Amino acid sequence: MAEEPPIISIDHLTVRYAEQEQPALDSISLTIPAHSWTAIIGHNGSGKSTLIKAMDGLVTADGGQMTVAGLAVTEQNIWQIRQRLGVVFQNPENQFVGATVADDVAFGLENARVPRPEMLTRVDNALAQVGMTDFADREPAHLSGGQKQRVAIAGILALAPAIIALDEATSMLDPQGRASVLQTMRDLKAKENLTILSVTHDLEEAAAADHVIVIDNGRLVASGTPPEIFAEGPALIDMGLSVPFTEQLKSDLAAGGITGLPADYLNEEEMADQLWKLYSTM
Amino acid sequence: MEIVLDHVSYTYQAGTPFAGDGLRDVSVTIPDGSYTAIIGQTGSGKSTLLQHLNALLKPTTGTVRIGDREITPKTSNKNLKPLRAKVGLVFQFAENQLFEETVEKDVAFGPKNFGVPEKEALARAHRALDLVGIGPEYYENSPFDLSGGQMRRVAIAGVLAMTPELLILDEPTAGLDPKGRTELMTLFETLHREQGIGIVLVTHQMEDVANYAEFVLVMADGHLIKQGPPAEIFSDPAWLAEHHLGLPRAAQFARELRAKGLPLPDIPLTEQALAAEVLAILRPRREADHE
Repeated sequence: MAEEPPIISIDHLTVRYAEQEQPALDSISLTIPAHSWTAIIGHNGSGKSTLIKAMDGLVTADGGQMTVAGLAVTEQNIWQIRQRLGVVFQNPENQFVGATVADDVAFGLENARVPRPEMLTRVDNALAQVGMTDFADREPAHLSGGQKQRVAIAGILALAPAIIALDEATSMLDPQGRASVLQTMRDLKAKENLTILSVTHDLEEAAAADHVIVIDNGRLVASGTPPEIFAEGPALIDMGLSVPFTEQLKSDLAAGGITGLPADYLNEEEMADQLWKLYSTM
Repeated sequence: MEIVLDHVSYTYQAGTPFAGDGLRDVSVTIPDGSYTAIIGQTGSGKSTLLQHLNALLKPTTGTVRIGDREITPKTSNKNLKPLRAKVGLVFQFAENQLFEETVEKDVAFGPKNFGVPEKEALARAHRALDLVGIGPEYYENSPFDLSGGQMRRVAIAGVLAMTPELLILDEPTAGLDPKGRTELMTLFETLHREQGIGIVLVTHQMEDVANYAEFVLVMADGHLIKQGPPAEIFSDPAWLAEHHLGLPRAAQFARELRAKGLPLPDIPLTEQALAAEVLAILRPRREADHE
């Protein structure tokens, strides 16, 4: 079977905001493989949210080309693109329009003029997929942050998108809410064959992605698998990010004279195994 | 300034069908000049508790003593201003409350509102902005042209310009990048250590509790269910899990190492402490190898 073409390709994308000298995005080129989970990391103001907004037509490109789910990102295609690429934003309070959870999920379908019987089925299915069926008739205001974000995800799912982008969607949630949203996304990705883009500061979340993209001052500075990216420890800190816990521990142990650990990025389980190996064989 | 809560309960929308308990019979002393963390699930009563610490909310029953002021259900809302100058409250996403035309005006607003003359208010604003790392080149900017992290710091400067004795922080680093987070937490630590400002921090970050707090209050369902130093709070992972709370990552990892057989003497709470313990175990063996 021939390899599937990338679901997103971006070629020399530049975005400028009116009042700023430096472009928010400066000639970014990248591709995102279909059905992958890609984490986009970078400090506050690095341009990572702008990248998502450009793909979704919320900000206009000043240069370059983009293709999202087979469509060129142009003014004519914006509405079709928004049905294929759904974005969950940071603040769960700011994305509700419906009086009940079910109404809210139906909103996008109404906009897309989906016939009512089909709409009801799609809403039910979407709520079931995020585990919020029991809350269909509740007021969104009375949900927890994590529940609100899952409803926002259901609103996107109802439109049967190919791509879901999380724009720091878990950063305002407590640890339980965060875990529930991420688990929902992992299950959905597996079941629905979705492509996930996740703009995040949570390096442990990034470490679990298939692919990591690092944006700094509007430029793409690195792109690779989590082990490739996290092997750059100190450079990440210089960019206002941090390194995963295991990398920090490895570097402190190296400073203390323990040099027998592999240079590659290790997750916690691998790190524990390596430390045990050092202890038991020395 | 010491704060003492004595059998404090708080009912939201009391007397209506929507009445709900925010706090249930909470008694606790927050010592003068301490660094106290409050942890608990969303909806456990943490924010309700915070709002009692500067009399934004008054208890439905019980009393709150803030320094020498006693707040009871009957306390009138008048004359609470001096108290609120001494106890500065930084809300979640504090940048949402910026409103002035320029950064310095926004920060000077609080002191001016409390009757501080214009010139002195500006001088205080400049000192506070200096503390949070916002330089003079930003004084005349609109606060809305700043980055999210800078806006957060300007909002915090607005509270610091009131020269509070106690700083109450409701998830002050939520949504910031790791560098912004570290900078703010370091600022609070410095204010605490160098100026003796008391800190009360509501957080979901167990690393922050381990790194900075001297004392921890655990809330669940409106009750204060545990209090003590971080080492004590984190000594019972099963109890924490039962209340949907976690361990700091270093402690969690140390337990995994112990389970594998590494003889770590203590469960460290911070990454540095963990590294030190692992070094202490691995180094002697390595030195023995070289002999």
